[in-house]
Amino acid sequence: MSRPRAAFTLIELLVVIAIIAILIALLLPAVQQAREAARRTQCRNNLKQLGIAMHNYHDVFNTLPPAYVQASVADNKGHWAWSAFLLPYIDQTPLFNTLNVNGQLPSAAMQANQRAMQTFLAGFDCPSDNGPQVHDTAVDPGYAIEDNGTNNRGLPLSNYVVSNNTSAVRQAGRAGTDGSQAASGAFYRNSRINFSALTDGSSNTILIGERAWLSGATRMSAGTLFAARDGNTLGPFAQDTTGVVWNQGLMTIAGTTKWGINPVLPAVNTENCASYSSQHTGGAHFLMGDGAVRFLSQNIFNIGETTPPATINSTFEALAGIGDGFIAGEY
Amino acid sequence: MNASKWWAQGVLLSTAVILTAGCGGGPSDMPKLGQVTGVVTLEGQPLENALVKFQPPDGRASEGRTDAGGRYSLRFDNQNYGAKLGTHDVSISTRADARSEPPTPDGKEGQVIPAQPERVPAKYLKPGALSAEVKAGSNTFDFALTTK
Repeated sequence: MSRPRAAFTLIELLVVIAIIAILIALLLPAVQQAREAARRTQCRNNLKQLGIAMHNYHDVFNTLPPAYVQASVADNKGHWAWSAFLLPYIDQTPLFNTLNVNGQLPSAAMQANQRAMQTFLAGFDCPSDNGPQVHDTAVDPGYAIEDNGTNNRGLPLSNYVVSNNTSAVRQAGRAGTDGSQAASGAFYRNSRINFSALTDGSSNTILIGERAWLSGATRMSAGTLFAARDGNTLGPFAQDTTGVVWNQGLMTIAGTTKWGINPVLPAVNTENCASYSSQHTGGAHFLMGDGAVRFLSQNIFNIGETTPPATINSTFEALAGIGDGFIAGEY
Repeated sequence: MNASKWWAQGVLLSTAVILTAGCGGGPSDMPKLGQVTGVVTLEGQPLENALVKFQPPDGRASEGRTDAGGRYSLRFDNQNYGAKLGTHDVSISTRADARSEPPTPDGKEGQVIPAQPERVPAKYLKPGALSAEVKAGSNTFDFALTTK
């Protein structure tokens, strides 16, 4: 009696090959998602670093940095923005000193050292985003400032903007609940908000949000570093100034919840571009006051009133408002 | 006999693997959407360039803008058309603040576009004045506004 030979049959071999093929097919998409997951993690880390910088700034000055400092400058010149004041706290003291943020205005810095003023900082860049490093004045002339002459020079791109309001962006601030009259967020003209002013709780208050170069297929233009462009010598354009220009000014350094996350953009250069957005699927990252970075879904409950008053009566608005008293609930 | 048993096990295992493969991807909180279109008229005339906004009681709003014929089509976000299923507060407004064209590449100011007045009668601007219930599939909501 002969024993069966100890060997694989053809069918057994084919089945094993098929199983291995299926397992590889499962793994490949995971590798692709791992790349985006890594970029998302890096983006979170960028915001975390900015959060630590905000806290260190607060330790020194007992206040969060202002959205921008209003200076007496001519039309189209610059006002220093929050990102310039944070430079010493993100290991960029040499750049802070070169720009001489405490000693001169942005347009003078652009005149004296254009290269330093157009420094692209990876810490302000979401790796998933695909915008340019420095704003092109032929594409977004308002995301630029003039030097001491009338040469328009693009500012570096930033994917992170501070939380200004629940309605259109506003220069003037007040910890109220009607965003159509004044900013209800933590950052506005010459703002000096300290953590005790975040009466809704610092873990329930947005400090910084993401803004991408594109929302859908339409250019959203992200934000700018270091400075905001003046409009008609009235400070950066915002709802406070007359004849608002929705493609320059305060909206390039600060954001609003009004149109939700990843908004519908009817065109480029519209007020909706003052919203938050990201290339991560389904939402965007936000830095909260306690230093936590949260990924908020774009389907978060949000009521952006079309007509005044812009009451804070939804979850997303409550997170932007610093002292609205509205209970944000689960998000 | 042995070979066909192996074969059966292989087929079972592969089927199971293929079935579970479809369950990949993270959980999504994307709500179900219904497509919404319609026409807005004021005293029988098409209302042009009005913002139509559908606000659900909890969740993300949808909006659309009317064309010259008063027609609108709602968009949910930058990828999807439609609105969340369920009841919505509807607001229609033609109000717009003054704004300006983009600056020219050499940095000069763009042309100023004056503010647009509110043409929708005040009675429709109150919260809850207009509402709609969006169902799955296609929805048509026409709003015939009157000044009386």
